[in-house]
Amino acid sequence: MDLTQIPLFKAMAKKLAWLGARQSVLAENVANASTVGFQGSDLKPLDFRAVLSGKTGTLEMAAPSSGVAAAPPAGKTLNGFARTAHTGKVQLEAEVLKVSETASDYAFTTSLYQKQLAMLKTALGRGS
Amino acid sequence: MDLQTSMQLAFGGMTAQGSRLKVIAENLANADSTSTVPGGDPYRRKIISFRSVLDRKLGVTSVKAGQVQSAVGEFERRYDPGNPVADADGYVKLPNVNPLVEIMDMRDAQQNYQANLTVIDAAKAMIARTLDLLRS
Repeated sequence: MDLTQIPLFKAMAKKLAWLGARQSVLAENVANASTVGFQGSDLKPLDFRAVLSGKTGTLEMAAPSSGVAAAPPAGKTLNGFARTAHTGKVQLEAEVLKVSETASDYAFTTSLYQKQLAMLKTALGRGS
Repeated sequence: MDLQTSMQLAFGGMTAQGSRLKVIAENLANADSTSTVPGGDPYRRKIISFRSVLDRKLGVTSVKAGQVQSAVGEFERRYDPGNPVADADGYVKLPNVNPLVEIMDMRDAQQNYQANLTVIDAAKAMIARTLDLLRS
């Protein structure tokens, strides 16, 4: 049984990948918080509904920057996920909050994954 | 893998903050180091700078501790004619270290270090959750 062929599992895998990528971006912000002139960035939010219905491909293109906004230092995408424009000077507290938010979202999605798997197993008559 | 990337980034941040703490300790330890020759310059405060380095392989910006530079500026002078290192007018130059500034800097370094640790903790928890999927 190839789970990745099931849309919901595919979407959850993508969500997990997005959360992982976001954690990298946040780690980048925290690590560079004391660097003079460093500008933080974030990932564009993942539209789970669109992912679930298979409307978006793997690569979301970043919106064209409007004049002044400079391109993020490490390219516009990370593992196929679009970055936002610079969000200004890094605020450590806000970043740490986002880190824990991402971690709990990750825990939530993996739990969902497990529940879904258990449901499939029940349907197959193997119990959970 | 992304989570390992974030851990690596955070480790880099911690190393950089560690170097910063080392420089601060150096400054504080030498807060009273005057010259050893009459009329000479005392200890000059050191400043570390960080720079962002683009890791092309991982596609992220890591942090590296840059070079350590000496702070510029005039030294404070204290009238102490009996001191063997005093100049011809009887003045001793004092280091341009302000302990208050150093301690503020130290708190900032500590805070940054802690934030990086939090990132590592979160990444570790996420990896553990992923491995938990194997058990279901």
